[in-house]
Amino acid sequence: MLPEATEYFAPLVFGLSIIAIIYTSLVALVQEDMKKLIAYSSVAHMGFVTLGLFTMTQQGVEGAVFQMISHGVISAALFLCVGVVYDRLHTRDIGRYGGIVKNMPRYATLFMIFMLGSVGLPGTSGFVGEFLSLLGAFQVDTVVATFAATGMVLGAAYMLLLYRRVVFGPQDNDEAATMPDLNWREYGILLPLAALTIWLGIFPGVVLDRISPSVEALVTRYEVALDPEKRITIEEKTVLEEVEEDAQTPHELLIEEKASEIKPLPASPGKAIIDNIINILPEKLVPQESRPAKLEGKAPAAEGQEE
Amino acid sequence: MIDFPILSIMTFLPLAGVLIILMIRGDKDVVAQNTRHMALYTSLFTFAFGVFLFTRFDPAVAGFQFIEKSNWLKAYGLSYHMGVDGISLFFILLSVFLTPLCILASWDSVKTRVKEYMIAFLVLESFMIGTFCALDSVLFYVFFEAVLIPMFLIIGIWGGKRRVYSAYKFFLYTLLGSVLMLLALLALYFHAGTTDLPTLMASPVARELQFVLWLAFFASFAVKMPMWPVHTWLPDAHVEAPTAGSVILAGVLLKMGGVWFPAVLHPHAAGSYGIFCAAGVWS
Repeated sequence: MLPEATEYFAPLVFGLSIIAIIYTSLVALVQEDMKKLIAYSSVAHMGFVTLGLFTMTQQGVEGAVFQMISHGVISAALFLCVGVVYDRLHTRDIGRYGGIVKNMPRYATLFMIFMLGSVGLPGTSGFVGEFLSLLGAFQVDTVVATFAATGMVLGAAYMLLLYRRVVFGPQDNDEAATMPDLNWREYGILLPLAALTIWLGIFPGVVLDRISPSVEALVTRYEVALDPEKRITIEEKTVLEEVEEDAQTPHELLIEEKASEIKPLPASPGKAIIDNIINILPEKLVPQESRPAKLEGKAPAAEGQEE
Repeated sequence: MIDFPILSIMTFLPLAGVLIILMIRGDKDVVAQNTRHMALYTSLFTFAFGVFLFTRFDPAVAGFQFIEKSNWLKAYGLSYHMGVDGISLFFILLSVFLTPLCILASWDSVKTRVKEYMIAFLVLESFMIGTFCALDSVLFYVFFEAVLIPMFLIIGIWGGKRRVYSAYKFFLYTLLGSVLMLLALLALYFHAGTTDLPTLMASPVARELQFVLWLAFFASFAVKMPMWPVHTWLPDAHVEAPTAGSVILAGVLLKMGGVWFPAVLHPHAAGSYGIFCAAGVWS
């Protein structure tokens, strides 16, 4: 419905996604409230979703959808984990916990599965979504993908820190040290989620097989709307083959004609921001020849990959 | 395929459970305990339908399946149009999977107004499923907005200390984005003359209009996702919401934007191109 606008604003969305991934990860790193930390991590994870969706590549969009499903399972489980200890101690302050692996070993195990899923460890569902989103982002813009990958490292940092402070370490708080382990009801809630986290990580095909036809249709329609060559219809192609022998001329004329249907886009505001950021980076990091030219519409992403 | 309207049944089954819960009488503890059980069974029953839907879904088809269509307001071209594709299927499953877990998680921790709490959750489930099934822009908007009401109540009544502030912040942020989306949907209705989402997706839009519409849709999308810098309602809402509220908020509500907006923001070109590409002549 809105293909040109999507292409025009995509760099803006990339910029916002990167800020979401990196900035909110840094904010999550300094949280003292367990729920707030997981809430900020949600924003960071949804950054990968928006990043993937707007790459408009098969892998990127599939990754974004998978990431949404995986995040739906993992973040739900993490909030339930917080709920379990909150019901016992009535505080979400990370500093009040510590060393609960000794009295709640089962809880610690399940919490670890979800924590690693949130980090994106291979073998959990979190990995598949983030990996595919990054794969899609890499095809469109390597700089964006690099920043997003940095966000993954930060994601590992705040989740591992949360886990260490809550589950390991000395047992300073007597109340926390005497909390009972999971009861059957909490077990029944967390086990299916843990099973799903691992199952989706090992057999992502169950989900990907079903979403990929829909995603493929979406991506194809997007490309058709923007690429002159793909706008040539079957009838025109048949006519083209009949006059064939005169070599490429009719074909190229047709492409030119189709291209005139697509009006050129002005340089995108988001693109300018990203380009300016790259341009102020030191010479050692980004050599002069690979810097983007100032305000020149779309960057030649394909060339960048060949280098 | 299935010859009964499974999507409508799934959408309205939780509401049937609500009706039964409303009929429960007795003294306070009995009502609370019966309500918990009834809510759990209703949500498990809905989940069973979800599993059935999953097994009957044909993975090879790219378009919408289990389509139900009937006239709603004929004079304005509104229809009751439901269907799922490969993307929305999993979010319906996520909704029906998480709701029983949420009800179990609130079993002991919610002690006040248990009946109202369970009703709010079942109504929420019904609206969530409806949002992911709706294929008519008005129907979609109704469900999309209606979800806010039970969530607003869950945060505002059963939340923590600053629950009222958080509930209002959540409500106002989301509503502000959604109002812009409503304007965009109205513009599209006058542009294409229909509210049918698949038809709307296939209709090209003039470039000048595209940019405005995109920004309006994106406002709603960005708040709902949430994207920086309009994410600030989320930490507040999560911190104050009861555990189960946080679960549904993070698990399902954040995805509502992500499921529909790619289909809306990204395009559908005219039909013949689609056939051509499906044939894969030039790929």
